[in-house]
Amino acid sequence: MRLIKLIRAFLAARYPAAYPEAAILGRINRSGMLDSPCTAEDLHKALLTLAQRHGHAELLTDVDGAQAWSATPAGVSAWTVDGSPAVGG
Amino acid sequence: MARQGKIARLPFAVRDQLCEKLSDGIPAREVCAWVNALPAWKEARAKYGYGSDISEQNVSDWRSGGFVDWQAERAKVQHLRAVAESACHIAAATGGDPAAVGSRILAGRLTELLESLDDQQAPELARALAALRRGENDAQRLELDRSRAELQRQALELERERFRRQTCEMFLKWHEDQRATAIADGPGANAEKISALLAYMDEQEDVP
Repeated sequence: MRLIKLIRAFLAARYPAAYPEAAILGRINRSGMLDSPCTAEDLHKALLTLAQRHGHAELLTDVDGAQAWSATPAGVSAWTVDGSPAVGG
Repeated sequence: MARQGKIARLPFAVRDQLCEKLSDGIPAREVCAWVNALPAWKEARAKYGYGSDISEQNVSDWRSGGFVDWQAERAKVQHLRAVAESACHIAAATGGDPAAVGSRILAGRLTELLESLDDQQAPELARALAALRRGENDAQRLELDRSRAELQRQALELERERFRRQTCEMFLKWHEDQRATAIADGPGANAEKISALLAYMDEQEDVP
């Protein structure tokens, strides 16, 4: 599965929960659904694309500065249309 | 390996609907009639050069193959959604707005924890959280009772103060009344004077 689709599937299934990039990286790589492990840089670029180009993810910042990614409602809809693939769990 | 049968080559949306029909117990004959009438099937039939429509045998084969995969995937997704929902409820129970960023980040951490639990640990955690929740509810009830008692005490205090004030006002009013003063200063026991004063007050109320 393509990385962007995988990330969207991971976040959308758990919406509205939000995850730091490190946590997403670990889960994506442990899922075994990529041909080769994803790097932190690849993940970051994919998240930005998912957010800025597709509007399917958003970066949240807590009052203490902690940041985490979550799916958006549009991302959840797109995941459903995709067939709601499950990542992890 | 990806499935390559007639049904497997249909678009996802059609496959999904077909699986829903199988899940609802729709007979294979009806499923065939439905899917063979779809434009999506006609396109696939032309594209892949199939010589015949989808048959009940095709549906039967799908039932033991692709449909089983679909059920497993759906169960997995439902489980994930249930875990995420539980995590959000737990995060919300700690106080604060469930939609706030902090709650959503906490829900993410809780989801990670819940997904990592095995079949024995999950019920244990659920029991521990239920006990924690009961404790919190008891504490909230106690606090509510305390607040109520305090409000009642304050209401009683206000009522007492109001009564004293009214008594003083009444005293000053009737003290200026000669007839009332005469009754009060006159002979007789207090009980008789009270009856006389009450009767006099009734007379005054009847006066237009």
